[in-house]
This record gives sequence, C-alpha cells and structure tokens, in this order.
Amino acid sequence: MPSLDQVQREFASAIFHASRPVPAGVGSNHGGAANKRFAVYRNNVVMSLTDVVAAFFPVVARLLGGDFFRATARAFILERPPASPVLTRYGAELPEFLSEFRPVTDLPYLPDVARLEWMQQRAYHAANARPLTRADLSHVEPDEVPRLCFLFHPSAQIQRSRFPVFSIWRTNTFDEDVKFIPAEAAGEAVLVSRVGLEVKALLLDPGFYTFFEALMAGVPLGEAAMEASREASAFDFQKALAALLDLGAVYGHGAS
Amino acid sequence: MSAVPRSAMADPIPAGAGVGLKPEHYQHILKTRPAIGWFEVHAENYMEAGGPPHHYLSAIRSMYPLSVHGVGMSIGADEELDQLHLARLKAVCDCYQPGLVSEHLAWSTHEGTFFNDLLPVPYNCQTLQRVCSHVDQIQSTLKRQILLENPSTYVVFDASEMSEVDFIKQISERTGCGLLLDVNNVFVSATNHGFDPVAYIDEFPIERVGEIHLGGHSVDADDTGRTLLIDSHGTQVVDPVWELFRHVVRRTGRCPVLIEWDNDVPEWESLHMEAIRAEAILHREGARHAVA
Repeated sequence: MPSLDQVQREFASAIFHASRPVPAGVGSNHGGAANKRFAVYRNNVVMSLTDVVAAFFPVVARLLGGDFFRATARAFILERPPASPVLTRYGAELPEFLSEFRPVTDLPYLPDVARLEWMQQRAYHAANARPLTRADLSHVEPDEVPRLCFLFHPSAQIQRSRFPVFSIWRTNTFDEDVKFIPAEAAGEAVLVSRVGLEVKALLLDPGFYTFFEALMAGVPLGEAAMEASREASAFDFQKALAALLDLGAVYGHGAS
Repeated sequence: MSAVPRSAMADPIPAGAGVGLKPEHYQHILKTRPAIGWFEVHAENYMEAGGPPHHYLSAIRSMYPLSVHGVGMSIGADEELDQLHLARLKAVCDCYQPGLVSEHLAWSTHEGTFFNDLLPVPYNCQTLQRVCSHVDQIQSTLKRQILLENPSTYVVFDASEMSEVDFIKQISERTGCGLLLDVNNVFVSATNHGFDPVAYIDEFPIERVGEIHLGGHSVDADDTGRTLLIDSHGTQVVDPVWELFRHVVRRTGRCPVLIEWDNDVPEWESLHMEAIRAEAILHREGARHAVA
C-alpha cells in the first residue's frame, strides 16, 4: 500500500500538471475513468486562487480583460502558488511575474499598476496606529522643526513609476467612461496610506517622492526638504507636509 | 480518551442558527443588529495585523457569540503541522475568544505550497495516526477542544481500509475532539460515491456533534455521465439537504447550526432567510427529539 506521503506527493503534483493522468489508486466507486472527478480539485485550486488575485488586483484584471486575465492568473498561480494559508498576503510576487510574463509585454505599465494595487492591499491590512495630527506638532518650537524625524504609519508606502500609473489606476477605478491614458505620458509618483478604515492613494507633486523617501529613511525634515527642492525647484514644503498629515501617513516624531 | 475542556471561555455558541460572516454584510449587521444567534468566521481572514476586518469583527464580536472555523491547518497532511500557522490560529482565538473552534478532515499544504482547497485523505491506519497526532497538537496548543468537520469528496482511494464514519469516530475517540457534521457534505459525498446519506447519519457518532453546517452545492457530471455534486457554497441549501438536516436534528435535538454561503454572497436578507428556515426546523424537529 502506498504511504500517505506518496499518495499526497502524487496528488499534489497532478493538481498542478493538467496533462498528467489521475494518480494511481485514485478513482471512482462506480468504476470508469475519474478524470472529471479529479478535475474538480484542479479547478477548485486554480479558480479559487484566480478569484483571490482578481479581488486584490481589480485594475490589472480589467486592463487584461476576462479570458486574458484568467489565463495570466492561471500562469501566475501555477508558477508561484501561495506558500501560506494566509491568502491576504498572496500576490506580492505578481508585479515581478508580470514584468517577466511575455504575453503582457505590450502593456509595459502593467507591473507598476500591480505594484500600486498591492500597496493598497498591504495598507488595508497594516497594523493600526494613531496618526500624527497638526495639534501634535503645535508644541514643536519653530527652530526645532528642521530637525524633526517622522515615524511612518505601517500602512504608508510610496511608489514612483516611469508610467502614468496613478492616472491609469484612477480612471479604471472611478470613471464610468474610462479615459485613454497614453502609456508614454509623464511618469507619476503615489503615496498610499490608510486613513481610519479607508485606504487612500495620492498623486504626488514634483519633489514629494524624494521628500517622503528621505523622511522614510530617517532623514530630518529640513534636510529632506532641501533634497526635494534640489530635485524640483517648485517643491512646496508646506503642501508636502500637509499631504503627509492629511493622509495620516506619520504617527510619531522625534528630533535628530 | 484525553480530557480536553470544552470551550472554557465566555459566550458559548447557542443551540440555534448562525451564519458565516461576510465582509459584504459588516455594515448592515452593525447598523441593524439582526436577530440571529451567532456568527462564524474563517480564521485565515483575520490573521493580519490591523485594518477594517479586525475593526468590524471586534465590533460584531461585542454583540454576538462567535465561532472560528479554520480552513488552512492541513490536518490531513502527512507532513508536520505548520507551527507558525498554528500560532496564528491561537492568536485569533486569544483575541476573539470564540465559543467554538473547528477545522477540516482534509489537507491543503504540501511541501510549502498551499492549495486553497480541502483535499481528501485515504481512510487507513497510517492517516488515522497522523490526523490524531495533528488534532492532539492543535488541542494542546489552543488548550481547548476543537470540532473536526467531515469532508465533501469527489474521488475515493484504493488505499482506504475503513469507512469515513469509522475513521471519524476513531479520531474523535482517540483525541477527544468534537465533530462538526456538515450535512451538505454528507449529501454531496453520498451522491458522488453512491452511499446512503441517511445510513451515514445513523452511524455517525452523533453524541460528539457540537455543530452542524448547511450550505449549497453545484451539479456536474463525472466521466461516465453520473451526477457529480460540488461543494461550492454559492447557492441556497437544496430540499434534499434540508430533509437530511431534519433527520439529523431528530437525532441531535437542538444544536448550533450554521448557514455557509461563501461565493456569490447574497443580500443579507436572503442569507438570513436560510438561517430562519434552519431555526424553524430546529424548533420543530428538536421538540420531537425532546419527547422521543
């Protein structure tokens, strides 16, 4: 009699290789072939995980369209199946997979759209923390402000793309008539954060990405603002600080 | 039989109808506080650090008893239990203090891959030992009894040496675990493998049943054209399953019973109607049990 390990090894392998026969010793009480019976397991695995990917990446699904999306999701699932039963974390590798998946090379912005959607998925489940408010900062002496360092909220993440990734995501998420966004339009940077129970995405003005990136690395406020101004002469410090606070992106501060 | 305390914590699950809690219904439930006995969640949906799922579940838990149903422990796997996942399950239980905790007689993880499906096991002595060892580990880690659910299956194994009911009975006797009797699963497997579902219920160790599940299934056909039912949880409970449920309740009396509707989730009212129907059957058949 085959060992349990052997039974499960063959069963697992046959699930992911549709061309393989039903494992020996697996069948039907009624006799006859058990292909359609075994196919239930194959379908359950791929279909249920396709639903997970579609739920976490609705814009990727929409950009690819029904059958093309399902075929792409299937290829992803078979190549990079979940490693954990906690499926809220499944999909982290989709952006990288899409950047290497030949059938989607005509959509070069797709991996970055997937990255933006994954950031939102992570923000949704990130740890809770009370964000910093303007009142929290009111006691800071003006000459101490440049030396402030911020702790970022667990949900806060930034992305910079050479594609108009935010515009593509926004029109496909909110517009009844989806706008045409030329892929060669200027690249965009985005801040994602959770405000209360709601995940928000904000298109960043010039210099903001550099500013936030420096702050996230622990650079003090004054120095981060200078870096941002060097990159973008129009960098608006007050507006950038307001954006951070409005999106609840920071939850603590200290002096350098 | 090892002595495992029944749910030692607050808020036992009442012997009435509950439903599987779906995110689509969070706000409606908080706003209208519907008259329903309890809710059940899939443990794996509440294993992240924070965010809306914990917010809503905490609020709902403060108003209703809660049951935690694991779908990813892979109890039927030959390989060792994932200790990290067991720790996550414990964290969910510590946080939400459920009245019942249940898992499946199935496997879903093999060599680091999670299949997201409840895969079947051969019913023999080797599997029995593995499953019992896994149930023991879970119960000792959680410091409580769990309920183990009978599966829906589509294939049978040459390596099986005993009936499903015998297998389940032995697990329960050896580990002290309770049982979750999924009546739809009995109907699905009975149809797929050609056994009598009423005889299955009559042989089932009914005194160990702590919870009943009811759900919908879809209809397909196997290679020979014979009806093949699929446990899809995407529709209403069908009449023959209600009929089988009446038979179960005549044996168990009043008992916690859950409506599972996980795919194509309907409006709250449709789901609630299914629970009301289950409650009515519990009332009528449970009374017959009491006088029997």
